[in-house]
Amino acid sequence: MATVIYDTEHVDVKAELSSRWLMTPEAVESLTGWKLKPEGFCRGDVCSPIFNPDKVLSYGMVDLQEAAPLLGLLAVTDPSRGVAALTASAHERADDMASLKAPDFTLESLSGDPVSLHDFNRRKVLLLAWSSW
Amino acid sequence: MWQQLQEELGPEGLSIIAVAIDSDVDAIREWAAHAPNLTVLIDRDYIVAERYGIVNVPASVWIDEQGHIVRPADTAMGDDRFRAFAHIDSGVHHELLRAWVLRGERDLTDSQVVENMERPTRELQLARLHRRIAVALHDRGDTPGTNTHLAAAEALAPYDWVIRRGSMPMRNIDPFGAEFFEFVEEWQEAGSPGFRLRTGRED
Repeated sequence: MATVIYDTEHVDVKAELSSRWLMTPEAVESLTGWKLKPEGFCRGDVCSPIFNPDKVLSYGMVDLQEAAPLLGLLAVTDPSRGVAALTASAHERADDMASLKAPDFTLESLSGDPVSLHDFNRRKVLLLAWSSW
Repeated sequence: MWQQLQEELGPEGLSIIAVAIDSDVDAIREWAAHAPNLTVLIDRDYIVAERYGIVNVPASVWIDEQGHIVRPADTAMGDDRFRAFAHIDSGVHHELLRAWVLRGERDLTDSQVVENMERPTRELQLARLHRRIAVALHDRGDTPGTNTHLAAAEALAPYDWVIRRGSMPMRNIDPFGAEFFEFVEEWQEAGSPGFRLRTGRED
């Protein structure tokens, strides 16, 4: 089994795991929204060319760790344990933060119900991060 | 104190969302019992910490009615329990909060908010990913895997409290024990890096 953690989602994916984490282009697309085309990875009108196909592609499969930077993402993969994690690159995240638009999130409450930031629309919010440790 | 502030400022339009960067549901439940008016959420994967640049707890971020960040992540103590250790007068932040909620007064301009954000480096983002993998492996009972990824995270982000101190329970290390105080010393020698805003700091 191979699991990719992408934000709060833990997605089981079909992957070929060796020293590399290889996924089908279709699996990469359903995970990230980026589609492999002859001109590169594309989402909407934007395409990101693949300058190093030897690293990014292997017999029609996509190397997640190598492809991630082309998608504005950062990946850590552990093929031997079947877990990978994916998030916005530092650059993308920094740009998002500088926009001052509060990113939405959905987390579980203690009763297990999902609660989102947008549920507090039209209220002032104090987001308090804390822990028991 | 957060419970009191919610009671006082809730009718004036404030909601306090307390996001627990934690996996210990019993401990979260106990804390929440003392703060029944707060919305308490569980963030095992450090999603909010990453999106809002939170490198230590307790920390606050202010978001206005339009979903606009008006104050970036900053240390925010509920009370003065840790004042001797942290050298922070918690009341300073609470007064700023009252001024914002009751009178719409902000202490920072938009550009000051941006300047004072903890924008991530590549290393910090990678550390957060390793930590997320460690949490997943810990759930599976894979101790060597957990430790491998926690070690990678700590090497990448040695002064991030969420990464360093926050991972101690997963490694069965007392977050108030010897290793914690070693970390504090290391962190102080590095110039106590962390939030840029120093609201209520007394040193």
